[in-house]
Amino acid sequence: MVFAHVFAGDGGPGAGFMHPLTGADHLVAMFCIGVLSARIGGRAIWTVPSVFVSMMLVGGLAGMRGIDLPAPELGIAVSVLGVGALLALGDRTTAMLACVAAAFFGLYHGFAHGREMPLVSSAALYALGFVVSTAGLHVAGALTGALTLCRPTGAARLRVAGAVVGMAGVIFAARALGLSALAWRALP
Amino acid sequence: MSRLVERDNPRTALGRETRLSIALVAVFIVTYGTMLYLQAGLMVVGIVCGAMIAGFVAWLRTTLRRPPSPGAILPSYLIALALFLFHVLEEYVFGFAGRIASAAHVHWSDPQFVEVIVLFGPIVWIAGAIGIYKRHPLGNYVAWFFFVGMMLGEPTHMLVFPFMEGGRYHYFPGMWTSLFPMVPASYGIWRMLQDDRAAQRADS
Repeated sequence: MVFAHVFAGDGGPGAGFMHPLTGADHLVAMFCIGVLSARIGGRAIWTVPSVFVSMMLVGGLAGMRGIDLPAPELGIAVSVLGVGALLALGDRTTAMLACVAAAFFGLYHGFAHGREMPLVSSAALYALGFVVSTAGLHVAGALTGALTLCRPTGAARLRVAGAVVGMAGVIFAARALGLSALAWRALP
Repeated sequence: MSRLVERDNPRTALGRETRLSIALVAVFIVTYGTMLYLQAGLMVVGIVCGAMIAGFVAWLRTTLRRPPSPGAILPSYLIALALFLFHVLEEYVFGFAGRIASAAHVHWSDPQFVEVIVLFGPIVWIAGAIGIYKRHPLGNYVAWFFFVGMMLGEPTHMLVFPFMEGGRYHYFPGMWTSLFPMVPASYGIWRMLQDDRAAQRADS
């Protein structure tokens, strides 16, 4: 599940830390949640990532307990598509809309982390690992977004970046659905 | 010069763009350093993050407020980059990833080497070249990291790695071409320091 997890890790915080960083879909979505929070600005810069991380923990717990979510791979692909679309919408994306979306997306990402927890892991340490790396990605994304907005063309660049991320989400979704052999070859 | 003074006057507080750049670099070093430690072990972190931190300190203490002119460092940066990629080619052809992984007792496969060094690395280096050209603070940091990395990291191919397999000095993948990037890198560092001194003299 979820692409290119090359490192199983030590089964503890290391494995949790690496999980969001070694899957392209996790990495892109979490980084872009940070960018989106900076794009909206104000309190959204911490509320949107906080909602994501909180719901990710809930999803992680569900995954660890064996509770099922429908179509988890598709949910993660849709999160990439969704966060790209919210970025591409620019000013029209409100903080409330971003928080609702972040809650949904976080649940699915957390579920994937929880379901792929190594058997030997301590659940708390593993969760600590993926929360820390996700927070790092959010902060890096927020700083990148704020930095981009320092330039006069920054807002337009973020909208273009959102469109590109949305297209990557479509490819991830096609792969999740097994729709197209071409989509499987489009990304490493 | 005037453009730089407009961007970040040394007598005033740092501009927003520069402060955000510092924070982003710091977050990147911590996150990437942890990831690299978990993936490749302490020795690789020592080399890569050592260069990142040394470059970060040099950047903060010298050209942070006034990124040097692209004419001063971009040619040496691009030549060093071309020689570095030639060096990566030698590493890849002669199986560097497998040899260093077994010598350092870590798991680092050829696909991971390609992913990090051949695909992800050049994205950073090319973005760095654009940043240098635009005199963006982040581009200037990438230049410091790259030049310092060549000076600190590449000699390990001659001085450390050949002793790691049984203690007898012998060929290690990447060894023949490891020192070439150091020549333009050392010139690049010298030019950045010269540029910084000239800017300081102009300020005073």
